[in-house]
Amino acid sequence: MLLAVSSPPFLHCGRTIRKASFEMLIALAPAAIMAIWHWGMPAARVMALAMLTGILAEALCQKIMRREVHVDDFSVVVSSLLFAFLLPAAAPWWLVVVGTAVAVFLGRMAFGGLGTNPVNTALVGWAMLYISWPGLMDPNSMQLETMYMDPLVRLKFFGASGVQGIGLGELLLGCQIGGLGAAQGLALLAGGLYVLARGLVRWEISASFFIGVLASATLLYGLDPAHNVQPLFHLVTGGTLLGGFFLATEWASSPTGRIPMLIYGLFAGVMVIIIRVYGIYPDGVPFAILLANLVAPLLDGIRPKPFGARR
Amino acid sequence: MKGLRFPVGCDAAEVAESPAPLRVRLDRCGFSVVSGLKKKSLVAAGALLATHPALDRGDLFASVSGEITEITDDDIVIAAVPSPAEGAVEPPADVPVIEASLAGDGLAAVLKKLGVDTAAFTAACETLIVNGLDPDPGISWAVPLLKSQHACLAAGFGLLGRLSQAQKVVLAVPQGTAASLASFDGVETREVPGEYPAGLDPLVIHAVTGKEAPDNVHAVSLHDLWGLGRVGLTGRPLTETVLTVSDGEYPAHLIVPEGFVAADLLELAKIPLEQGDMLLHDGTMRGAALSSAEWGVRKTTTGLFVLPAGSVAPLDGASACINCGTCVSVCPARLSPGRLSSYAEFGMYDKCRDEGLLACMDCGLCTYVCMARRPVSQYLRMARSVSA
Repeated sequence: MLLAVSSPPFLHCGRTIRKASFEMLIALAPAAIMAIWHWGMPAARVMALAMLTGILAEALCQKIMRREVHVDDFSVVVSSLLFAFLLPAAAPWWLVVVGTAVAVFLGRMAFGGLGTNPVNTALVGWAMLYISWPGLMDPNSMQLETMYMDPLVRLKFFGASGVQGIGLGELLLGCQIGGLGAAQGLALLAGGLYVLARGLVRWEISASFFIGVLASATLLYGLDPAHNVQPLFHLVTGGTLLGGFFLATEWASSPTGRIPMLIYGLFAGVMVIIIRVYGIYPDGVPFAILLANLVAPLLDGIRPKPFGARR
Repeated sequence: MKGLRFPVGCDAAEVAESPAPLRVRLDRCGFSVVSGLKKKSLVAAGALLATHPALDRGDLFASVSGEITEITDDDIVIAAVPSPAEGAVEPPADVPVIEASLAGDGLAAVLKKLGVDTAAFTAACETLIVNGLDPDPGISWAVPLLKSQHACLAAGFGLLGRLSQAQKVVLAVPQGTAASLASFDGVETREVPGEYPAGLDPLVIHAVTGKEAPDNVHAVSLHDLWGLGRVGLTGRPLTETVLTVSDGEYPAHLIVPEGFVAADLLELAKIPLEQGDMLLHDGTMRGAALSSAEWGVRKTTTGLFVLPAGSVAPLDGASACINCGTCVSVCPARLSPGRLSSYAEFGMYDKCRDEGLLACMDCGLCTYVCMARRPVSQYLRMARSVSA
């Protein structure tokens, strides 16, 4: 009888990349459903097109690189969906295709595939589109047939008094103009808590990110309540929840040590508020996370001494 | 560890003697067979079969009475004789006696002639810690041994005191069990919390002494102490091992004669073995896979397990690190196994050493959690052997 022979360890936790991707997609599903609820078929179309383009782009790249085509681990589907969440629901089809392709090419494959990108995959695509077609990427100018408002645009141009009447509850439920998935606060919160509980993303990053956002917002609000909004407003608007749970925590672009992760998250969170309050962009989350990604390798140099090393 | 799932541990509270085997296959690699021994020789249980040249390795003895059916370069097979028959053998007369005055090297020399590997007990140290935690997931004889083999362990401690130069002997036991265990004279009992890898020697030493890798502290396993005590108690050579045999749900802790063939032991425990399964001896995280079920267990074997075919996703040698950081969060040595394995993959062994490779305890948790199914532990072992 032939027995299988291997070397230790013989057990495995059972989680493969594919299973992890499925769990991420489950976590993102509530936000996707809420996006369709609020924005209808256009949102569904953008998400589906992004995922399809992502799969084709990765397969094409892997073929050109003469590597085994590994789209069946579904990791590119997760990244593409996250990218789609940042887009306005009314984004034209070619914008979605170009953006996803850039995200996959530049944000992943050019560096070697899953796990190698120095900056977040979805945000690379978003940033390229935002700089090139700012009008088309601004949900406030794209989503015209709606009663909702874009709270961060109002904050930027009308000040704190311009957003007085908007309740946090309705913002959480997605009754705001923003990225089609990024605006679905409550759904993202549910999904985010799920991936945290499952250990798919590191709590150190999410916790320090949200603490960074809330602490800086609280500080500014405390110093000048007339011109700043209450801190929780910053949590439920723009890409904060999406960024804190799903974007800042991307494996490849974030550090792996505990102290590096805490500093990284804090840095990103504080930058979100600084860009929102003092910068020219209504939402600081994508650029804050991109900046933090650039700092991550330096932070990962903060390493504990190995077990037994003389202190 | 939170979130990690290992095969179900044991509830069986006792260690039982296994039924007598019909045959044993004794591993004699490295041993020289005594002159006059050949096929068809009749031997009694406890008869000297082969000697080991090293002074601290115990000699090889027959674990059952019977007739030698095979002597090869690797093993000696004995077919057991169930009852005295014509030409039955007398019990061996020249069994060395452990005199009360013996200590230190003199005692070690006698114990070698009684089948005990003495290297672990004679290592120079000031504090000797007996590691009474289960060494590997799936192995769960630690508490049953402590509870049901007290006399044997007490004899072991007695001999240990005479063998070792240590001034202090500490017994480490799993957390929550000290209250229900009888103590041993002159031995301090300390509780150590946690599941695997808490039972690894470096971590037990850290838990007991509060220091990482202190000088002059040495650890020996409870299993080895039991073997020592068995010799002390019976006065006969060591020919048995304690092991956990389990199908993952129902473990049994057995005192098994050395050389008990794995296939026979599986049949005894009613554990099926099919084509493509993996047969493991010792532990599921740090043990070894057997290429055949015809091998016999050794004095050092601590467990026997079957991993059914397809129950574990196969390793992928061509898989790249995805930098998820899960391995970093589980490594007890505070290393970055992902980074180290990538260095090893590209032959950058110097960088491995610089970043703490030698602190690796070989617990295997990095490979256990790796989503990309990389052979992380294997890379690290290769790097260690290259840079040594």
